[in-house]
Parts: sequence; structure tokens; C-alpha cells
Amino acid sequence: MMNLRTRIYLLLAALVFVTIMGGLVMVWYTYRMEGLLTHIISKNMATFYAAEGLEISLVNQKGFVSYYFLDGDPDWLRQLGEYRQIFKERLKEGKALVETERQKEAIVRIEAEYSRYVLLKDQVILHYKGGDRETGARLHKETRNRFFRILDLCEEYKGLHRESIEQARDKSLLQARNLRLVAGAAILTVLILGLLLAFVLTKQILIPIRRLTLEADRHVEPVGAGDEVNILSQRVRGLIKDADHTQAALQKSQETLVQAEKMASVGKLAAGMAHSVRNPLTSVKMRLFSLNRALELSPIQRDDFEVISEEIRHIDTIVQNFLEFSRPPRLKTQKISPSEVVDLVLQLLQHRLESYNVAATVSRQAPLPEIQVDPEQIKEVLVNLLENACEAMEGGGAIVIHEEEGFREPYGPAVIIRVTDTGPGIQKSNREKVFQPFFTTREEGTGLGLSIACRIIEGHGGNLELISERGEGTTFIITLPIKES
Amino acid sequence: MENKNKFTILIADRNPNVREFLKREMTAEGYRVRLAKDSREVLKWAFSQAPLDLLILDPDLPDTEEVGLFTQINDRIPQLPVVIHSFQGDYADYPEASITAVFVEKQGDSVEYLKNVVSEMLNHV
Repeated sequence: MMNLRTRIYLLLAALVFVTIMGGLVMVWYTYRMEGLLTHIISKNMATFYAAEGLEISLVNQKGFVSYYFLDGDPDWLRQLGEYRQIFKERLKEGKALVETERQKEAIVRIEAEYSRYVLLKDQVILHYKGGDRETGARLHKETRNRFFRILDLCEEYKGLHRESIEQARDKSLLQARNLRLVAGAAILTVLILGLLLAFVLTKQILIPIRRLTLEADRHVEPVGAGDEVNILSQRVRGLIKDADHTQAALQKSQETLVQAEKMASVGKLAAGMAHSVRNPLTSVKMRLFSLNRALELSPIQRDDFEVISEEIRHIDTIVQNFLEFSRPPRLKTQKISPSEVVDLVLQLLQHRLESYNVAATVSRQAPLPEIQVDPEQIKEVLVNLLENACEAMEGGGAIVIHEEEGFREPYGPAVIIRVTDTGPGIQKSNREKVFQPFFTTREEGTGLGLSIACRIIEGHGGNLELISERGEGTTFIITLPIKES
Repeated sequence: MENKNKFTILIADRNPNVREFLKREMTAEGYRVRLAKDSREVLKWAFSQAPLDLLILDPDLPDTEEVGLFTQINDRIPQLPVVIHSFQGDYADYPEASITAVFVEKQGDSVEYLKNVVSEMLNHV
């Protein structure tokens, strides 16, 4: 089976070939017709007229001898001599123009007859001149018979020329008919080839292209009068772009998957460890509590005791964080405005903020709408972000919590809470890492706070991100979708 | 004080030091205290002739799942008051406990709260 391109090229080539050949044949025929016509006009007609001239010049010789016989005027014989001269010339012309054997034969016979006739006639004239009028009259009669025979021959000779003209005409008519046939065949062939080409173009190119155009993107309105190939190429470019995006997304999700698997195994380990540590730790705490109830301690002992208690609390926090990190947060959602949680957190951290010399303000036009969230978890996230901010701003600073309602891709309607501090910002190289578990820049940190916060927000179907420029503070952006429950 | 003598409390915790601590505290309150280190021992006490008035239970025992502790206790003595003394996270692993039991989060100073809860529950009975 030929491929489509070959088929179209073949059809086109055939079409062009037939058209050109048809044209060439026409041109050739016109030349032939022209030649034929010229031949008929210039040659056949000329010889025909020459034959006629011959006949006329013969006819003109008639009567002079009779006149001479009647009145004996020699002028008649002079005139006869002139006409004879004319006839001879005509005969020479005719001989030069003859084309066929038959014409040649005819003219030769005319010449022969004529020369005998002239001889006989000359005898008649001699008899008349010599006064032998009786013999002259008898011979004269015979010359008349000869004269008419030559006239017949001349008539015959003319007929031959007429015949050849008729033959030329028949020939040209035949050629014209052939030309018509060829032209008709060429027209028919071109028509068939054209139809075939149209069929191939429509059936194998235009219809498939149109179908492809429609299939390539079903979301777009059906193709109207526009250029299908153009639209199709746009669609294909779109598809290629989509494929690229998909490829990139796939790669990213594979990376995420690898990361997630890593984290899952680390998490399991951490959970196991934290779980085992917590049990004895609680026992220690219980005993400390008991000791604290009963002991009378000196100030130094009291200080030691406090430090031990403090450090044990710290260990406990670390263990709690590990455990929380290792188990996905169980959301206990309720319909509540996140603004309420923000207020609660600020109230809760009031003393802490004061001790860090940090002024926290809320910027909101109206309280956020009620959405399905776990207030405890959101509280934890906010506490975490605020504590991080406080830690970052050595010597104090300001925190602004900005709340707004908006539209965010791909969540749709969402509430957005921004926590901005006036701290030193986060180094570019660390911006990605801060959300990773176990990453910390602080001595006492566990490196789990932000990764837990991130997971809680993602557990709500939202997202936590940060904007930071070195020296211009840091903004954490919490996006929570407003879902129609 | 005198009527507390009648009450027998079973304390189940995997950590012996926690068990002993709670026993000391509860005995000081005047209760008779039994101890169990795992679910089998809990059931042993539950199925014995000696009467039980209350169970302080940390369900994070080595064999809770395989024994089916909650189902067994429910079958045997459904009226037994149960106080779950455990960590928040662990407690959430046993949804079947939350229906009948009172929850006290296990912390360093939770023993005082635990005492109050136990006293209240027993006096209600």
C-alpha cells in the first residue's frame, strides 16, 4: 500500500502531465492544421488556377486560323503566335507545380497532344498560305477534333487538382475530428484525476484532520469556519505542553513519594522510640511530683530540683513532638471561625510574647467565616509559628497576623492567614528545608514544629508556605479552603 | 474514710513503678488495691471471686489486643466502673473504651485528679 504522500503526489503528477500533454497536442494540431491550410491555399489553389489558365490560353487560340482563312490577314497568325507563347508558358508553370504522378502524366499528355496539334495546325496554315484551301480545310477540321481532345485533357487535368484539394480538406477534417477526440479524452481524464484527488484529499486528510481537531480538545467549542490545520497545530502544541507538564508533575510526585517513604520509615522509628521513652519518663514525672509534695529543700536544692523538672519537661515536649509527627493528626473538626482561634492563641501567649518583648497585632476587616477545622490543631500551628517568630527576633520585634478571605488556586474560596515577623528572615538555602522534619537552627529545637504544622494544615486540605527575604522578616501563609459541607 | 475500706481497686499498667506509685497513693487514700501487669492478670482478677469495685486501666498493655480486654470485661462485669489512665494518643487507639469509661490523661501530676475522679465514681455507685 502506498503511503498518502506518494498517492497525492502521483495523482498531482498525473493531473499535471495530462493537462500539459493535452495542451501540447493542441498546439501541435494547430500547427498541422495551419500547414494543411497554407498548403491548400498556396499550392493546390495555385496549381488549380494554373490549370485553369492553361485551359483558357488554349481556348484563346481558337478561331484565328479560321479568320485567316476568311480574309488572309497575317495579323491573325501573329496573334495566334502570341497565344501559343502564353500557352507554352502556362504549360511550363503547370509542369513546375505538378505534385502527383497522375498530374504529371496528364500534363505530359497535354503537351504531347498540343505539340502534334500545333504541327497539324501549322500544316493547315501552310496549305492556306500556299492556296491549297481544300486540303487546308480538310486538315483544319481534323485539328478542331484534336483541339477539343486537348481541351478535354485540360479539363481532366483541372479535375485532378480539384480532387487533390478535396483530399486535403478531407484530411484536415479528419485531423480536426481526431483533435476533438483527444481533447475530449484529456478533459475526461483530468476530470477523473481531479475527482480522485479531491476524494483522497477529503477522505484521507480533511476529514481526519477535522475529526482530530474535534477530538484533541473536547472542552473547546466545535471548529467553525477557522483553518482546521491551524487549530489542530495549536491543539497539538497544547497537548505537547500538557505532556511536558504531566511529565514534570510525575517526576515531582515521584520525588515526593521517595521522600515520603523515607519519612515514613524515619517516622516509624521515631514513634517507636518516643513511645518507649514516654512511659518511664511519665513514671519519673510522677515521682518528681511526689517528691515535690513532700520535700523541704534548701534554696540550692530547690534550684537543682527546678532545673531537673524543667529539663524533664523539655524531654517530654520533644517526645510529644516526635509522637505527634509520627502519627497523622486526628482531626476533631467543628465549625468555627479561625479568627476565634487566633484570638485565643494571642491570649494564651500574652505573657510569653511580653517576655520576648514582642508586640503582636491582628489585622482583619471582619472575623473570618466559620469553616470546618480542628481548633486545637490550628491553635498548635499558630502557637508554633508565633514561637518561631519570637525566637527569631532576638531583642524583640513585632508580629502581624493578617486575616483575609479570598480565592486561591486550586482551592477555590479560602481563608488566608499571614503571620509576619520583623526578624532577620530565612536564608534562601534554608527556605525549603524548614518544613522538613528534624531540620532546626536552634539548639533546643526538635526540628519537627514546622513539619507538624505543615501536616496539620495539609490535613485540613490547605497549605502552608513562607515568603522571606534576608533582612526583611518572614511571612508564613496559611491557606485553608472553605468547603461547602 | 471508713466506707472506703470496702472498695477494691484494680490498677493495670505496664510500668511497675507507675503501678507501685499509684498503689501507694491509692492505699494512702484508704482503698484496697490489686495490681495487674497485663491484660491476662486483669482478667484473672475480673474472673476471680474477690469483688472488684473499680478498674484503673492503661490500655497500653503488652497483650490488650490479643486478649480482647474490653470485650471480655464488658461480658463479665459490664457494670464495673473503669477509669482509663493513659496518654491522649494511646487512648485514641481504643475507641471501644471511650463508650463506658472515664478518661484521665496520664501526666506527672495526674494522680491528684485521678484520686478525685475515683472517689466521685465510687460514691456515685
